[in-house]
Amino acid sequence: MAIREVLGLYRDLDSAVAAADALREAGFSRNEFEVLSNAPYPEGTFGEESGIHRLFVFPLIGAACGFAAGLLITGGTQLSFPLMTGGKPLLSIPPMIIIMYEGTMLGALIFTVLGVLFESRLPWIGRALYDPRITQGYIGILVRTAPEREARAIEALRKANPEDILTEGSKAGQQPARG
Amino acid sequence: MATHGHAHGHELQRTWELTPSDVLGSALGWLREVGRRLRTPLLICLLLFVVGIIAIVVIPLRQGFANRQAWTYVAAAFLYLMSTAAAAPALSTALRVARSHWRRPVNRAAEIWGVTLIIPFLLYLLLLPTFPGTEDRLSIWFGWPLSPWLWGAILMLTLTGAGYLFAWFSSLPDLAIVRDHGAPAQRGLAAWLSRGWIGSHLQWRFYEKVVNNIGVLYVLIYVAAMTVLASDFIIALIPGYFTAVFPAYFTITSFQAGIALTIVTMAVLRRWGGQTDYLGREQFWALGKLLLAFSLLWFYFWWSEFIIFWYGRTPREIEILKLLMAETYRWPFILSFALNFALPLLILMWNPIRRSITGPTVVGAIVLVGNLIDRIRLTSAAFSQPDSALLGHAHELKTLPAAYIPGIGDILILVGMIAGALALIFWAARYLPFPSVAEVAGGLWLRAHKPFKHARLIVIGKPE
Repeated sequence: MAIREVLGLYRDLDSAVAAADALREAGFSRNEFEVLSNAPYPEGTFGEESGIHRLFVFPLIGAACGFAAGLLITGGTQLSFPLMTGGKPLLSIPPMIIIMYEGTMLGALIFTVLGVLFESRLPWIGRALYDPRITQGYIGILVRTAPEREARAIEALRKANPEDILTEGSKAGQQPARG
Repeated sequence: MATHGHAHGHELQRTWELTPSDVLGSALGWLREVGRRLRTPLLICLLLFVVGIIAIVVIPLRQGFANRQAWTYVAAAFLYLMSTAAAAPALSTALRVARSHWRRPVNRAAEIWGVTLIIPFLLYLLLLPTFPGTEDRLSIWFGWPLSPWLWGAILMLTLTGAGYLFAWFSSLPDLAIVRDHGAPAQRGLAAWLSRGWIGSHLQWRFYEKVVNNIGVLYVLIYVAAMTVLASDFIIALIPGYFTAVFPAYFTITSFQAGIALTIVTMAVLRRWGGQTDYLGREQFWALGKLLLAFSLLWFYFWWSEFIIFWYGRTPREIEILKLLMAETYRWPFILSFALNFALPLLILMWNPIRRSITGPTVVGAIVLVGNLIDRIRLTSAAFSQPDSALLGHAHELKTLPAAYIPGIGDILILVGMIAGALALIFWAARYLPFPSVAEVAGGLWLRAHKPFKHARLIVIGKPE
């Protein structure tokens, strides 16, 4: 199903909150619009519910994988080439700890990065209506909805005195600069 | 004006009465001015860095990797950068995790040092061939195959990667500002680094969590890396230096130097970077308290190690004390003791000094010098031992070596590598605005100054 995007730009926080309220009153669900800003606002400012994220799972899985890899490298090496040294046990824990710790940290780090990219949808490869004025302090309300509801979205956004309303066809709407 | 009004007898900082557009205006002003302001310091640092590289090629590289003593000041430069520049991002993480608001203008000053990590990493790779394998000598690796080379390199690579990730992700929203409003010369790299950042609610939700997660990982890797470096570069190279306290001393004193570096960076930004509205007494005072605490920890860890050797009094222990503190490197040790512990304690113990901007800045500069002397002392002592003194699992220092006196080339190497790190900072400052808009503007909603009868109170919001 085709999705149309409409971006309302607001100079101040009150207008942006009013726009979010107007969209909700017009029957748009929270999943259909997104708030864009150049600084973070406290959770719930625009009436949104705090969602559930799974970010913590990624470093845990990565750490487990890294630990297992470290254990395999160290334990496997010592068992494959069994050399008794100074009457010490074959699986000597102290030197194994260093490499297992390295593996754990490396795994956790790599998986955290992957988790970040996955959970925050970065780099954004889809379409996103955007305007550089957002990083100038304007607050954007980005509506993603069905084509037949586009006019209704524009009407709701207008109620809150926007500075500008951009649609996919309008010239001012730009993608964030790509490398 | 940096501060005005009073609360509980303390001046209130102006930062929290600014509007988001004021903060953005300051950041955009920084981006406009930074290229012109930093051109000369950048060129000077680049020149010194090139001279330092030439000195490395001409002196230690020409003498070969077998002569470890020739590499003493390369190692000192490496350990000094690891103790200062690499420690600063760890401080930033600690402040973020503590969720204080005063830290918001401080974070960028600490995190920007993460961009310098490539220099210690390259120095580490250069130094690796100077170490013998660990099969026939005492080390933390217990003769593990390819140690210390491969496993140390992996650890350093992980740390460097984590440092760059931390610096990148914590700057992502500000890089988007440079992308949209920077000069054409600034936009290209900023656009590439901030691709996809639109400041959506979803992205902001992850921003803080991700920066905290990567920061915590960085600290965990940093502590492990410093423990291994303390062992590989110092303990394992001095026969008879059996100590479990030294790695902790080495790591804790690095945190101390990281705090000192952040304070000095803040003072420079305040004096020459137009940051008086953002870096005020509140930040210097808070970090001054931390610096005092870590200066006391310097003594605690040094004492914990020293008392064991002092009371043990075996010939082995006496030789170690003579080498590191009492004879060979007596003056570097006395200076280190004075600059890392005695002077910071004597200065910062006074409330009015600790609560000032000048007091913590002066002590920060003192600690940076003290840490450098300490790292030179330790590296000079450790790198004076030839391989023959270590092999055969040597348990004792056979002969007390003479003190290593640096030549002009050594000084050029040290200065050049530090200048290289500074050059990277000056270059990065073209893309990373001060103050960080995301941090400071994001904190404006959560902190305010309110009148209460005749007083003015700081009201702090906690969103969770």
